Amino acid sequence: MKLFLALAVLVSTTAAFADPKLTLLVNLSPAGSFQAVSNKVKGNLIKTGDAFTADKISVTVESFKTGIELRDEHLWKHMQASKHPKATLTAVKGQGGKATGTLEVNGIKKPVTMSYKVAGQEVLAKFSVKASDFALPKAEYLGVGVDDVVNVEATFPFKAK
Amino acid sequence: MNPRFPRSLLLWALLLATSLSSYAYTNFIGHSYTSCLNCHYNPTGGGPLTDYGRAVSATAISSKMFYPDAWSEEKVAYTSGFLFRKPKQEWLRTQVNYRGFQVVRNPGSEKNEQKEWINMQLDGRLILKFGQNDKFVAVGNYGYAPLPEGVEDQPEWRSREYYLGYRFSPKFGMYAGLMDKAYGVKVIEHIAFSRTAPQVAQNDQVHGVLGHYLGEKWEITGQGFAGNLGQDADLQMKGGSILAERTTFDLHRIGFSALQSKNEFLTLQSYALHGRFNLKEGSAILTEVGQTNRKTFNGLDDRTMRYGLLQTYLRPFRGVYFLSNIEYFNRDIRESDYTVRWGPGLQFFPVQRVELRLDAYNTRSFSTNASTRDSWMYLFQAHLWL
Repeated sequence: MKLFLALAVLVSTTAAFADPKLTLLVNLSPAGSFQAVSNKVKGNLIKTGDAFTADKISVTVESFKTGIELRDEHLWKHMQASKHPKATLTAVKGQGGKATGTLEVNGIKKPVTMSYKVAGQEVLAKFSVKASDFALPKAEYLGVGVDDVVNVEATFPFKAK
Repeated sequence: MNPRFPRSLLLWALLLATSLSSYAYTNFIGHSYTSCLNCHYNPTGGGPLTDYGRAVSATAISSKMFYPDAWSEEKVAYTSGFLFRKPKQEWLRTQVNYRGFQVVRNPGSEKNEQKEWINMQLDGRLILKFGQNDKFVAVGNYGYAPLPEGVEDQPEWRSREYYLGYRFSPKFGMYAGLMDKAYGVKVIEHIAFSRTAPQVAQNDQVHGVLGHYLGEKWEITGQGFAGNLGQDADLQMKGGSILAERTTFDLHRIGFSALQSKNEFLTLQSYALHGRFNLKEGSAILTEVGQTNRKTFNGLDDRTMRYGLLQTYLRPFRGVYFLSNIEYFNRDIRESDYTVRWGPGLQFFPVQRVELRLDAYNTRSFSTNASTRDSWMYLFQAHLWL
């Protein structure tokens, strides 16, 4: 019983302090896909009643990892990381599984709509963006291209007010 | 000095410098490559690599430990190309590939130990490609490959692959020529029961037409074939196959395949379910279960074979894969006898153009009527594409 309780506390503690994570799901042309993952996401997500708000959530572009070094470098370069090292999501408001915010990538701001669900002390959010909306050029390397639409998944812990 | 010598030397150097693998590495789903088409001209994998495939091979598969520290990943990628640099034209690629094995059967046995070096493959390839995203390809190879056991009237120097391919759109392409049959997980081990039972091993290519669909979730290949036209007419296995895979959770593939082939002596009907699972960071699991119904013209060897395959590829760091292989085979499902083959392996890509692999295989037969000793086999493989 003690062991069970200890495990339960450990699991719940781990969940309560889980690191935020941002995943870009990138589809390749002609085939395949890869994920770019960053665990270096900063910001505060506040829960008030059943509503969520965040003033600013940001991620360092060069913190995204794809599993292949060269692909990391290509991604950072493609996202103009040297000029715009961070991507940010501001004015986030959510309620009832739908949220809105303003995404800034490559120095360009665009409104985004997200869907989300709450799991324990975390919010799991999903949305899609078009790279071309952020003036990112068409990506291609040795005959393999990248689809314009990129799906984004975010796991973010929240604090209850 | 013979004035022709430098030219012939140069030709050999050109050939050796452009070699690529003919085998498929289906475990590279662990690097998130669900489909073979990014890295191979053949949509079912195997055969020559595309420029992108060579770059992936150099920067994700091969170790960087023997490269100078000052070399960037970009430079490593470009040295994977023709003459160690980015090709200057888009329409022609030439390649040469060598693969050899040191096989040790029954190691340690004073009476039965057998050691043998087998040159499995030495071939040259020519690829012509035109249009956006290599819309049109013409691929051919010619070289040495040992004859299968029991075959003597065929040349050891021959072509095992040539085809024309045209992609009408990124989603759909047609291919015609001498190609592997589209079936199951195209694992590198040609002795795998999942390749030998349905006759889709390294010498089972057929002349035919292949249609390939690549959608967002589904990848489907259908093939009709007239047998290997280089064989005697009564031996040519004619038929068709279908191979379908679905991407699940963005990372994995599950699929099924069916194949029927027939000549004047034999009819084979095979069907299988398979899965390829991405464990991330280059690690993967491959699995397949299937069955082959075999009917002979005189009914003397009619039976249904059943097989299973489970392979894991664990990548502790770049360039190295730890393998484990477990196979099951029942040569006649009416009987309870079966065979299990298992063993560990180590695959090492020290630099781009070199693959070294060490495998151990233990084969154990389970029978209610007979008792046989386990057999062991060690296999060291060198694969060069200089």
